[in-house]
Amino acid sequence: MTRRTQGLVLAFLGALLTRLSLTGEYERFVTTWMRWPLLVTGIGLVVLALPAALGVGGENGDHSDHGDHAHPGEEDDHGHRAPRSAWLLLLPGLVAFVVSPPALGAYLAERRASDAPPPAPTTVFAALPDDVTSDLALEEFLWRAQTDEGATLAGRDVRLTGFVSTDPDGNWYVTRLVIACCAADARPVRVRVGEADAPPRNTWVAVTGTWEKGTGTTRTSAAVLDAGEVTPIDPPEQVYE
Amino acid sequence: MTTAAPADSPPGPQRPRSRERWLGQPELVAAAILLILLGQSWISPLFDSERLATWCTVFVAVVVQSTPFLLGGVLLSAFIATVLSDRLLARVVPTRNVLAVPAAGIAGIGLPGCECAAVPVASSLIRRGVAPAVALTFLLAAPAVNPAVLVSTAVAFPGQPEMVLARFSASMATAVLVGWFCLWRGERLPLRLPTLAAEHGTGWRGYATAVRHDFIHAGGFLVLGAMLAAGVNTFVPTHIVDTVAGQAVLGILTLAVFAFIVALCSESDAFVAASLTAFSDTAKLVFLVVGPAMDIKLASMEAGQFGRAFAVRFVPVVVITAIGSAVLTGWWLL
Repeated sequence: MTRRTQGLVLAFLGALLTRLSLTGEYERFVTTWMRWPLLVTGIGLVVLALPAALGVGGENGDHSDHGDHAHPGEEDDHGHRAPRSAWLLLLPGLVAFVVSPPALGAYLAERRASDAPPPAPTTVFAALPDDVTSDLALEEFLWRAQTDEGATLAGRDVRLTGFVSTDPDGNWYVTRLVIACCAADARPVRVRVGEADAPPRNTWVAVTGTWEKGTGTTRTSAAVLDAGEVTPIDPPEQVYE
Repeated sequence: MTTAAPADSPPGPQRPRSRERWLGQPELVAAAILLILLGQSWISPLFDSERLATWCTVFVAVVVQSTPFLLGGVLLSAFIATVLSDRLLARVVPTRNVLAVPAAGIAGIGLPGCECAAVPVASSLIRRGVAPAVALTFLLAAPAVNPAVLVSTAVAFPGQPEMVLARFSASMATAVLVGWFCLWRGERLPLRLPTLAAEHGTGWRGYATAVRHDFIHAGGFLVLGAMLAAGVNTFVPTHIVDTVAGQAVLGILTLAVFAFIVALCSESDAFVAASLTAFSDTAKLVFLVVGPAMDIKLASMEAGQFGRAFAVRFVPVVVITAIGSAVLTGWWLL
């Protein structure tokens, strides 16, 4: 790999990070706080790579003794030659630009379905109003169900949003994926929906209903929401919780 | 997935090489056809779009998440290679290696980065004359015992502060023990280092060249590791993991293997460990100690940075030491 190619490869990777950060697509892959580190890294890589990619400043001065593509026959292990593995640096950009992978969805959630939700934090949950519908994050719903035998959920109308995933027994779930760092550590939080037909997998829905008493009070039992209404919605901007 | 041949490979390969190719080609093609025929039932579902899309997402995510940390590590390593003076370096690193090993472990607390940052840093420390054992201890300790990791562990295991303590002690013990082991093996470690970045010159231009050089050398192996980790994340059936959860010894070994192949960032692995409720606390600790010390991504990067012969010996030593110290710590603390 010549010095100019090395520069191009690095600039391409830098451009990918810059683009993901600016377009907001990075939220499919990593947490929101990574936006600025990605932008800085992307621009940094481009700045670092440009002189090499444009063939500026390498052939004279410090580097005359190593002229890489000028004298291909003289290359050896001590030259500037990059390892073959460096070609792999093109791959993330190709995959991201060509395939443009979507945010993770039902496939991963169903794969990881046996992972239990995290234990409820030892906070005191405020009572929910009993006359209006409360929007709850799925994780909070699960935590409330685990706390005091679900006392704060009993008889309250709640609305949960997420995508549809299923299990082999024919149940369906309103589901979100929680990521701590990047999509590789995504774990599902899901609430089984009762008394409503399943929409197609991976569609985003808002489910309004009430908690089925006694479900989900331990970390290993599934919480159930008896649905009054299931409405399809647009995917939210921030797909992971 | 194939890596393209380098564009600058010498034109007209020498005769022995070309003969080797002619012998190898039909066999390779035959083997490939055979593999496709035999593995069709396994391969074709991989191209089922949902799985492939998941692989792509996880793969890009791992690379995107790691690149800022890798660049940070490379900036630091190039700094060590080109800017740090020999006198300052000599003053910072204790002269007696037996003591320098635990000192390097403690110094690891100060680098709040992922594993990917530590590899080029350790490499440039060795190139600057720091004893390999000392640099490798730093490499093992830095991703495992820094404050960011300990805080995330505390958050993932609420009400279990002993988990944080156990993780810290077991990881530190692993780093120091492996360091002393390398010191004892000394010259017999087949360590091979890439080009000395410092010879790219001095000043700003030398620094920039060193950064680019180090990034190119480490980056490809990071991508390779990310490809493998994403593959495991997406394709390996999970019920294999679930069936052994209840058994003490098998559970520990399973989570050790799991930590090695999923290659999570050390800042996030505690959340995954906490979700593996079927496993014992000791098994979870093994997951937390093995992961930052050694995983498929790190092994790939270390093979690139220090040579394959070195990685083949270093990787099992680290994994076994990590399992051992985690099990002992778990038995004592959890």
